[in-house]
Amino acid sequence: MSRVTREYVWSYLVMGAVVGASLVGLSCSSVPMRPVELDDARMAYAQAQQDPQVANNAPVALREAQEAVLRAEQVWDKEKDVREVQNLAAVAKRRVEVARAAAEKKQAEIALAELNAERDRVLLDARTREAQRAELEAQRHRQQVEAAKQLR
Amino acid sequence: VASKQVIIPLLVFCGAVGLSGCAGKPPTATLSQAELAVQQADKSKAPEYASLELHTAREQLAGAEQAMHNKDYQQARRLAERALVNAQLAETLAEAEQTRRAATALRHSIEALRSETERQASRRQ
Repeated sequence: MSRVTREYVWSYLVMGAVVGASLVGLSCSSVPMRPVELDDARMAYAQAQQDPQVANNAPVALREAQEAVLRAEQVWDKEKDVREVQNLAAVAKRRVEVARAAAEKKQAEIALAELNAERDRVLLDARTREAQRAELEAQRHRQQVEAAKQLR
Repeated sequence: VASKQVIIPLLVFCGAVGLSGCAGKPPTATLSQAELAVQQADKSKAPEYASLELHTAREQLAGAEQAMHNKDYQQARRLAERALVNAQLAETLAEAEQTRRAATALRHSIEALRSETERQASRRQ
């Protein structure tokens, strides 16, 4: 082997080693990172779940939010598909917001029902007072008639 | 030798079918669910009380339809899933706001009713 060919062989070996090492490095760095969206969704759900207003007023919507978070977690564990999990986590976070909105709606419905009952009480009260007033008026009228009779 | 000649194209064929299976079927059901949810939100008070969320849902639905047109079924499905939940969020937010406003209006009318009856009572005394 001449010196020139030996240098060629060496340079190929070195290049091969560099390419191999970078490939190994690439495959290591391509192990995907857990998407932040997944932790965001999980945290949003945990907060909503601890909020008694949400837990009591929107249990169904909260359950749906939980299922969405679990699904995102499962797909992450099994497939490590970053884009798919980002999407699922975004959906899950919105599900938590739906649960919060549903809880607010329920709370407003409860307030509205109480106000309806209150209005009925106020109306009844007004009518009762009106009836009492009419009764007093009638009584006074009768007394006047009696007095007029006695004067005659 | 003859069996090898049959098996290799068969394997290639199966692989091709499998790969096209990966690309997926068009997510028509998911898309129509999203469409329905956006329509329903449109009919509610969402345009008034949750316009931002409704706008997001509409844009995602349009994006899903575009992706469907481009035969990017994965993207179409993802966008349709997002559109669906955003439309439902818009509707629920709007319903909550509508109920809150009804409660506020009723509270005011009760106050008016009270002060009216009290005024009448004091006038007659």
